[in-house]
Amino acid sequence: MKGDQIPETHHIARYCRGDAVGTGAAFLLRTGEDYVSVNWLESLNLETRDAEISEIRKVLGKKLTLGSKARIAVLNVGNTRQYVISQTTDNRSLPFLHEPLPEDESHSGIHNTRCEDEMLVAELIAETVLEDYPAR
Amino acid sequence: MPQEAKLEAYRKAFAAQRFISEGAGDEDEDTYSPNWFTGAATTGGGIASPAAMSGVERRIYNAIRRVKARSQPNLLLVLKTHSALYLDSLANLYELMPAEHFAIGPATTTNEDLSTTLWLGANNAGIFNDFDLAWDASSEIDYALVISCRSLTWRYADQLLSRLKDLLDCAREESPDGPGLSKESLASFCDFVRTVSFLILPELALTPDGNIYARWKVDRRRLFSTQFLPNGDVRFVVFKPNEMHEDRVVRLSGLTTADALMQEIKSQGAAEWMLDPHEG
Repeated sequence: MKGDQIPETHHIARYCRGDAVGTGAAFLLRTGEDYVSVNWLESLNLETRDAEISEIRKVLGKKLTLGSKARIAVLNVGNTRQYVISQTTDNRSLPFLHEPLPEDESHSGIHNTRCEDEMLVAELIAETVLEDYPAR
Repeated sequence: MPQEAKLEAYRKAFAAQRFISEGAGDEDEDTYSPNWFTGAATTGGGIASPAAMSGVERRIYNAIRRVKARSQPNLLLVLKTHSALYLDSLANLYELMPAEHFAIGPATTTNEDLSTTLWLGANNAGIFNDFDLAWDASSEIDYALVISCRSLTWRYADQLLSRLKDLLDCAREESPDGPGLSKESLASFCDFVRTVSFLILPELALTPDGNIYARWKVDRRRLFSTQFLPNGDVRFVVFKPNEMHEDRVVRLSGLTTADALMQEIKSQGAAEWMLDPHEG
C-alpha cells in the first residue's frame, strides 16, 4: 500500500543510466523529483533474483527506453539506511516507502535525500550497492 | 543559467573590459556605467577586479581580453553579439589554431548566422575531423562538445571527448527529449581542466539533470567527487583517511566555483591521487 515502509531485510532495485552505476550520480534527484525512484523486489513475490530482475526489466521497459549501457543496481534496505545514518553528521534517516503506480506495482522511493549534503548521501548510497545487472 | 541571463552577464563583462581598457568618460555613461555590475562585482564607484566577477562573467571577460589582444575586430564583433556559450572555447581555439581559420568576414546579424560562421571557422581548422557533424541548430551541444574538448591542451582531451560523446549518446538513447548534456556544465568543467592540465582522467557520468559528474576514486577511503553545475559552481564530496585513526574515514562535502576547485583539492589533500605524478 502507498506509504508503507519497506522492511529492512528486503531489497530494492534502481535503474542507473549510462555508466552511472556505482557512482553518486545514479542516486541524485532530477529537478522536480521528490524521491529517488526504485522498485521493491520482494513485493514481486518471485522465487529468484534473476526472475525479479527480469520482471523489473519488463516493467521499466514499458515506461522508459532502456539504455544499452544502463544497469539495474540492487541494494539492501537496512544496510543502506544504517550506513547513511552512521556516516552523516545529521544521522540522516532515509525512509524507503512503497509508491505503487498503476502499471508499476512495486514502484517505491528513497525519501529524504534532498539536502545540502545530497551528493554525499548519494555517494554513500552508491557504496552500498550489492550487485548490478544489465538493464536489457 | 537562462540564455538571457548569460547574455546579460556577457554584456556586463564586455562593458567592464571596455571600461578598463578605454577608460571611463570617453563614452556614454549609460554604456559603461559601473552599475552594469551588481553585488560582489561592484566596489565603490568603479569596476571590480575580474576576481570579483561571477564565474560566467569572468569567463567571458577573459575570452574577450584574449580575442582583443589578437586584434581581430570582426571576431570581436561576432563575440559581442553571439551568445556566451562557446566564447572561452573559441578564444582558446583561436590561440591554438592558425588565425586565418577564424578570420571572419563581414559581421552577420542573427544568432543563426553567427553560429554558422563560428562553426565554419572551427571546421576549416579541422576541429571536427573524425566527427560526422554538419551544422544544425539542434546539434548545438555536439559541436560545443567537440570545440570545448579540442580547445583543451590537456593530455586526456581526446579521451574526454570520446567519453562525453558516449554519455551524450546514452542520454539521448534513453531520453531523446531529456536534458542530455548541459552546455553550461561542460563549459564549467573545461574551465576547471584549464586550471590544472596535469589532472588524471576521472570517471565520468551525467546527473539526471545533464550535469557532468566527475569522480576520482582510489578506494573506499579515497574519493573526490564533483558535480559541475550550470551556474559555474561545483559541488564536491571528499572521502579521505582519518590521520588519527587508520580505520576511520573523514567525509566532507562543499560548494565552490570551478576556478577555485583546485584550491579545495589541495587543501583536502586529494591532489596526490588526482594529479599525474609524472607531470607538473
